[in-house]
Amino acid sequence: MNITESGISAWWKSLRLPHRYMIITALGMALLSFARITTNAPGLTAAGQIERSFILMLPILMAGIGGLFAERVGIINIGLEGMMVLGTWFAGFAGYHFGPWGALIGGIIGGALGGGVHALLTVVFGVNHTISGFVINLLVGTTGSGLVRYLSTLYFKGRGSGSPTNSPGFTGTTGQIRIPFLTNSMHTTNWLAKIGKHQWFVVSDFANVLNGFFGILRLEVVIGLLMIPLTWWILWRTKFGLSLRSCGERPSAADSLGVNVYRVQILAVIISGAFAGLGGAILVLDNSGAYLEGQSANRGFIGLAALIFGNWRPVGIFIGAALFGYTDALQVRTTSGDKSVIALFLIGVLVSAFFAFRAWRAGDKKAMVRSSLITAVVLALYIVKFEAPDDIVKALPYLATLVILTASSKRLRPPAASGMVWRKGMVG
Amino acid sequence: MKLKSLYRSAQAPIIAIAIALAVSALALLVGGYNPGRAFSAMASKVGSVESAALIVNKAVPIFLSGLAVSIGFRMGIFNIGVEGQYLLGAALGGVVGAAVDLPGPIHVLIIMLTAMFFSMLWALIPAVLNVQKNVHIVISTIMLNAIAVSVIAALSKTHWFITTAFRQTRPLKPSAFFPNLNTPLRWIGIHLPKGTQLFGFVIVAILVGVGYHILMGRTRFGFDIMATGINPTAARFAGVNPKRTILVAMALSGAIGGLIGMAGLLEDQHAYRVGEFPVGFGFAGIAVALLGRGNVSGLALSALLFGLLERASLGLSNAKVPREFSAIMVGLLILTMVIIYELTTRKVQAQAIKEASELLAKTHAEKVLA
Repeated sequence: MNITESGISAWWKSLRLPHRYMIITALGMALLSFARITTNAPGLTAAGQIERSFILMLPILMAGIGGLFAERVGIINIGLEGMMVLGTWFAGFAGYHFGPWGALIGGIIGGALGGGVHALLTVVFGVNHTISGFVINLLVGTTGSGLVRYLSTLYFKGRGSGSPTNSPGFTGTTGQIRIPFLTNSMHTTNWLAKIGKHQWFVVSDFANVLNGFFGILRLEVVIGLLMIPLTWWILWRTKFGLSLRSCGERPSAADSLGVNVYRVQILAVIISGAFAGLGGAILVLDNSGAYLEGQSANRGFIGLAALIFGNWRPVGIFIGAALFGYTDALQVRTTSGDKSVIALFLIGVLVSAFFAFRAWRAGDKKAMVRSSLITAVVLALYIVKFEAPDDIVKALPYLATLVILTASSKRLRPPAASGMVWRKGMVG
Repeated sequence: MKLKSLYRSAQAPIIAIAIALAVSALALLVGGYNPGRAFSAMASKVGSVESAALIVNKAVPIFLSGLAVSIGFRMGIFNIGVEGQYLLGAALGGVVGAAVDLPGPIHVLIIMLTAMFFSMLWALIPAVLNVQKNVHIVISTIMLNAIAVSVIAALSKTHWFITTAFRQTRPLKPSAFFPNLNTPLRWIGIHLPKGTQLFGFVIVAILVGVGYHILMGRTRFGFDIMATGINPTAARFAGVNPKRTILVAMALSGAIGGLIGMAGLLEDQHAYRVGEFPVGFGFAGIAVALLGRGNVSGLALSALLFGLLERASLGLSNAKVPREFSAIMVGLLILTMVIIYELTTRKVQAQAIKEASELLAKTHAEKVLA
């Protein structure tokens, strides 16, 4: 028995990273499909749910990638939330004046401004990174009124439906990519939707996922997703990326090889803010072009969680963002009487049982008892069909963030010099 | 000598305030407002006895919050969760307080202990997750803030809450009111106008502040916390158990956090009203902790400054400036303050290194000559 099992883990270790990701995705789909059928909760993989997930995943993904650029260069950026809020405000402002593409660019500029302030504080003045990030959030106003409220009073109040807490909004979208037989349309049948309707095991769920993606394929979704390979290419295949990562691992070594550490760090932190701002702009576009105070709802921080979950790698961040985006969409769509949350309990049971099994095999008694206990509790919740109060369902993304970070933060390797205030001439 | 060091420690805040005011004035100009008029309108709101009492009232919860945050800061933990901790504590304190009927002091004490207990429990979640699973405390506390708001919202749908103009806990009986300080003030000849009170909770805040000072400066535990903050590895070799220190410090921080909402609950609103109970003290506490740098008098002064700004911001509307502008002033103040602290610290360090190397060179030269 032991031999075959160690065979499995040896096989797993022999796999390349992309293949592992594919297997994880397939297993996840099978799990979802199983939970959907046994709990009779079609909402779990409905095309609408997947479509929302793709949109709601993007701001988190952008914040995560923003965090990646910052932490890979050695700067912790908890100001991502504030930069995302700046992104939403500038997207609202620019969108009102220049339309949807203006909103995207405005968001990027707004976020980059926030990144610039963070760079000034952490790189130029050498302030503690966490403190600097917090101060940016405070100044921008993620924790209540602040800069954005003041700016909104100045520039939105009295214009159309604008007020101190929201921008007037605009009509129009960035556009949509249409593919015959895949896109929702009145003229051609949507094949994916047809397959999805049959509710077949896994097959229909896959069709629904693809339908959720292709059905209404907005350009900003495509742009957002393209950022994953782009980021990978910049960070791991260009000279700039190499010097950027070397600053985050061993700044003094990078310095001795002629890298201008300060300049690379400042640039990376500005890029980091720009990504967070882009995430904010996507939120604005999704809200029919209107900036709304509190719109980012901690997504900048959840992006940081996705970064940690993803082990400071682009595809890992994508998986994390997809998980959080999925729960976010579930939270928005779930109405009372919906069984989706109950189906989630079933997934929870299977996953925690797997952890218990793994702990038992590894001989870690304490972890096994802990995981078994969690399994039992979640199983009980599933059996009694515990209906969580609506307010608790609203907190799902935050709960998911906590649970996922707790389950995953053991075997991670952050950049070695992340969080270090480096000064030229310093050892480190 | 004493005067000189006083001057030196006051220098940084004064420069920071001056820069923050200058940048604020610039922001006002950009917005098309007259900075002179705005500042004088703000100044006109402070200065009376009444406003002094209100400033102190405002400073009390912020000071307590600053203490709660500072405990974490001392050991290098950035605890953003005080906001959720105190709100949850206050809500449950309100629920329990309305459910029991006890003679005065015991009733008050039960409510305070309930709030402290639940606030502590909420603070222990990120602490345990950090110690056991290495979960990032900044992220977990932010998530827990959001979850606390949801928990309170869910709680407010239960039978423990009633509907008036708001969803609120049943009003507290007078036995659960914390006495104010208006009578003692009258004895010394200060008469507050009708409807204004000076919170008796000032006394509690002062006691907690003194306790914090003794704990941090005079006990082994305070030393452990500081040692862990400065150099965790060295602290561990010196026999400090870092996990235990984190747990105890976070529990303590949470317990103090439970007191933040008590002035509002026991002296002002006498019920927990959803959407009406004062929020934001947790974040103000972080700002105050950054300004006060973990020392009690610094924290108290910063909290009073916050109370002052909050009160003065009422004058902004007289100058037709949106009230939110005071939040920008606060943000700018902290921004300039952290920069200036950083620069002065570095200057002091550079000076010390220079002096030491000169001394070394001198003794070396003397040796060679001899």
